[in-house]
Amino acid sequence: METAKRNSRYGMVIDLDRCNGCGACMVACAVENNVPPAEPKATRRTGITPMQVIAVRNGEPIPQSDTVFVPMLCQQCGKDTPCVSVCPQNAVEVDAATGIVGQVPQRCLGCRYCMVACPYHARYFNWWDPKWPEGMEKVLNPDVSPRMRGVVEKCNFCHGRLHAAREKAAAAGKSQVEPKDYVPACVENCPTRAICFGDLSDETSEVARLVARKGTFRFLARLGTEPKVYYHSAKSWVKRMAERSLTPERKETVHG
Amino acid sequence: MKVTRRDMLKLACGSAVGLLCTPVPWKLLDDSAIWTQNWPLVPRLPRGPITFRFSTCTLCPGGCALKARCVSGMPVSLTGVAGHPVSHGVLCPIGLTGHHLAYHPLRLRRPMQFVGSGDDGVLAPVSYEDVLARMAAALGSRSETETVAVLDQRPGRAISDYYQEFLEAVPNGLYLNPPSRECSTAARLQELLGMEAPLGMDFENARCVLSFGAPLLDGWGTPGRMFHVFNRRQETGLKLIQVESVQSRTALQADRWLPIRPGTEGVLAMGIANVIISEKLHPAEIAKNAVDFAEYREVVSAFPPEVVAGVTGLSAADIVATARQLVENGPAIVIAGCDPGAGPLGPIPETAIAGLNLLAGSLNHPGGFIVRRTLPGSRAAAAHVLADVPDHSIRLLLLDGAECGYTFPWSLVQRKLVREAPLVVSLSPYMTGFAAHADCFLPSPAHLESLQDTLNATDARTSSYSLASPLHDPVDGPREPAECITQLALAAGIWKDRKESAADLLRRRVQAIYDSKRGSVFCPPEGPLKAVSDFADADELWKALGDAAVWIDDDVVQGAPERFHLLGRLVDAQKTRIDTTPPHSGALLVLMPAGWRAALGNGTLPPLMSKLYQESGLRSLAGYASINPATGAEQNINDGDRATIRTGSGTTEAVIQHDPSVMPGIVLVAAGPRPNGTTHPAGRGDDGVLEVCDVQADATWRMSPASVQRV
Repeated sequence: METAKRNSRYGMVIDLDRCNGCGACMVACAVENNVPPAEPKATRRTGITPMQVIAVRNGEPIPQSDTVFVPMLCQQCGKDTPCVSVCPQNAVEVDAATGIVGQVPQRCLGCRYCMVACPYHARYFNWWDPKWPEGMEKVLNPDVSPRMRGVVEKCNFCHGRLHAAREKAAAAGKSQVEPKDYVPACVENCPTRAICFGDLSDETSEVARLVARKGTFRFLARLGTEPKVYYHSAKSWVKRMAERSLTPERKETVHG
Repeated sequence: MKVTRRDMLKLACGSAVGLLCTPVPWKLLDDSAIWTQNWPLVPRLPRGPITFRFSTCTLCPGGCALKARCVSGMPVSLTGVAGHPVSHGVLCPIGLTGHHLAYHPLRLRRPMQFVGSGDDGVLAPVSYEDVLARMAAALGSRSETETVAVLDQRPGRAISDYYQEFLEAVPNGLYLNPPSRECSTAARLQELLGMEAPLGMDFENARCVLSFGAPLLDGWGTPGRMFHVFNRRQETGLKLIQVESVQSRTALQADRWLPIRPGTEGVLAMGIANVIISEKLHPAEIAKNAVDFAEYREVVSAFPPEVVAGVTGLSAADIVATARQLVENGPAIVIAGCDPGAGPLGPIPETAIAGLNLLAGSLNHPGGFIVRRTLPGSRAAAAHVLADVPDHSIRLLLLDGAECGYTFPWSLVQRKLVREAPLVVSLSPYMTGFAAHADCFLPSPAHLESLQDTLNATDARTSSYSLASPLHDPVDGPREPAECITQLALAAGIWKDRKESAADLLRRRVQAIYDSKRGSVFCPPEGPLKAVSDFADADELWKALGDAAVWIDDDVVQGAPERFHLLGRLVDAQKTRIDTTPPHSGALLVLMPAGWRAALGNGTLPPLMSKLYQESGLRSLAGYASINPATGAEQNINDGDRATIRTGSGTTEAVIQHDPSVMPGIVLVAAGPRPNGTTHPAGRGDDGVLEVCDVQADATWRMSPASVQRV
């Protein structure tokens, strides 16, 4: 007999020692979510990259120099979610059943207050109407609505895939989604298998095991927003970089 | 009761304030967000049944299998095929968006030609027959010394054989392959061994890989295989040593990175050989089997670790440790790679590096270079070396559309064209890459629009072969290169009545594979492997391969010559020897182009690659140069400054980025893609940084003395 449906808490663990900065996750995300190619004037600040890989260096000279590539996406804050509290349109909501912070572009009026509130700069504004090369609309993903100029968007853990997984589970008479049926595009296409995704509340899941592994941390954990995206590295300088985010600095500057 | 204007004003203001207390304005605001998202410009998403189909990516020589999610038969997303024996479920960022290339802004759908000369030329439609007539006229009007050539950047395909058959039937026909190769080591080993049999690399069983600049973990060979091998390093004990002047992505992932002074790779290889020989680390039979061992030993004696350290910038201890690790942690594979933008290291360093495989005793042993069997039905490519073609001798040049992912200066080709009215015809589906230099365009079908073949990548241990089945519907206008060659040969009277189609050429290959009864076939999505001998006939094999199956040869190691050379090109006819003088040692700065396979210059990039190049800082666009912060301080150039970079061949401008992973003294200039080149047309025939690279006598261009000045 199928057990009662329980709430999930979907999250990720990203192994920074495996990520080689290829960008496959960025491109897979854009394909899955019908993100258009860049406008000629688009820059790193004004482009749309719900998943963005950032190269972070340790600041040492050769040969001690080192670089990690950090895939940065919406961290799916689970407590006092900053973007939820500031949105005047209720265009952002935390789904109690999955823990996913969902952005509803159709409700968004483009005030960008959520972009100010987001500590991870993981939200992107559509400065231009999306344009695809002629004919390319024929190969867009039917499961994701394109967004227009004037709304904010962000990663929502491939909501279309969650819906498809739920339909499949319902068709099989199950109340829980099978882990193998719900895999975001970035996770599916990472060539080094650096991204692990799953239900953090399922203690038997691989993602829960990795969260408990030594060397796993979260960025800006001191803010107390309980992000559900974890990172892992065995390199001490990476952990020191992340640990700096555990305590406020006297003079904090924000770049990018 | 008298209603006054004051009453009306009170009513209006009161209503306005009252309205704000109702849900109406907020609902209208909410709904306006929805109304403004339903303009006609909003694309209507495809609807229909969802199916999955399989094919193979042909955008580079990797040959990765792909699974396409299709809606009403149109591919809407691509992903790798999990468990695939060749690509292990991996598809690179470029392959992931390959289905968008049919809509590339620079895609050509009908024959075109440039009318007018030089920069005033205007692209105009033309008929297929007119272009063929022009080509036939050029073919027929050649003088005795003038040639017709085909530049094929992906040799080994069925169409490659057809090009060679055509050129053999034409007087003075030249079959050209690009001077940039992903891995030249196999070719140099063939020279040292005096054989033509192909060589594969057994990474699965190797315990040490010494790579001289090969981007093994950043787009090399079949990426899925490389990740599959290197992700299991902790279990297998495989160690990667990367020798490179930049701390590249591969160097970051390597167990050891040797930050070498650029241009001294050959000297390092000789230094490693010196240690192996002086400490007698090589297998005893090497001394017996190498016919020039005594002379080789004498040559390497001039490269003791202390001298090599001074030349390369590495420590003597590192050089000794590397040599010992190569032999004691074997079996080992030593590779001379090249940056996709910078080109090869050069024949002399490549020979020195290749020789280390022989010295370490790993040839034809598990974990080393393996002599493998050739693909059944394929002919050995008898390509002319571009550098050896006489200048100003090519009257008609055909550019095949498939790109190898590596680039080289167009000037290497330009100087071979006749001075007066050469004719360059591009068969590419896009006006990108070298096609931008063409006079006429006979576009072939775009990526995933027609049946193509792809064979084993550079690194493959055994031969493999697959067909890339089309996912898009065919488009009127483009024609297969095979048809172009056939029509040209008929029009010029070279062939009579020959009417082979592109599909016929592929069937010929499949028939040969079937007749050989060798190997097995993996049918996606899950296999299992089925022996060729179990197929009823060639048609059944053809059908399987047409459904994106891959043929993999049996793991049979061929024999290698017992006797071989170690010196080869290290000592040429004039007895000029490799020496310890580092190139450009007097130059303040050295310009080195750099790039990522299949993402160079004005190459054919899917539009969504803007995510990596323009909308993030993950990869550098052309027009950006990276220097070490110390170099920036010396040259008084800050991060973000615009600078002029001058070489002996010209001047270019770039935005400078401070990058501590670049060794001091190097100006690493991105070789592509062009800014906005992924989505918008770029300048015609603009080679970017490659135009200002000094081409050396050995046809390399990877290093040019340069000066940099802030604008």
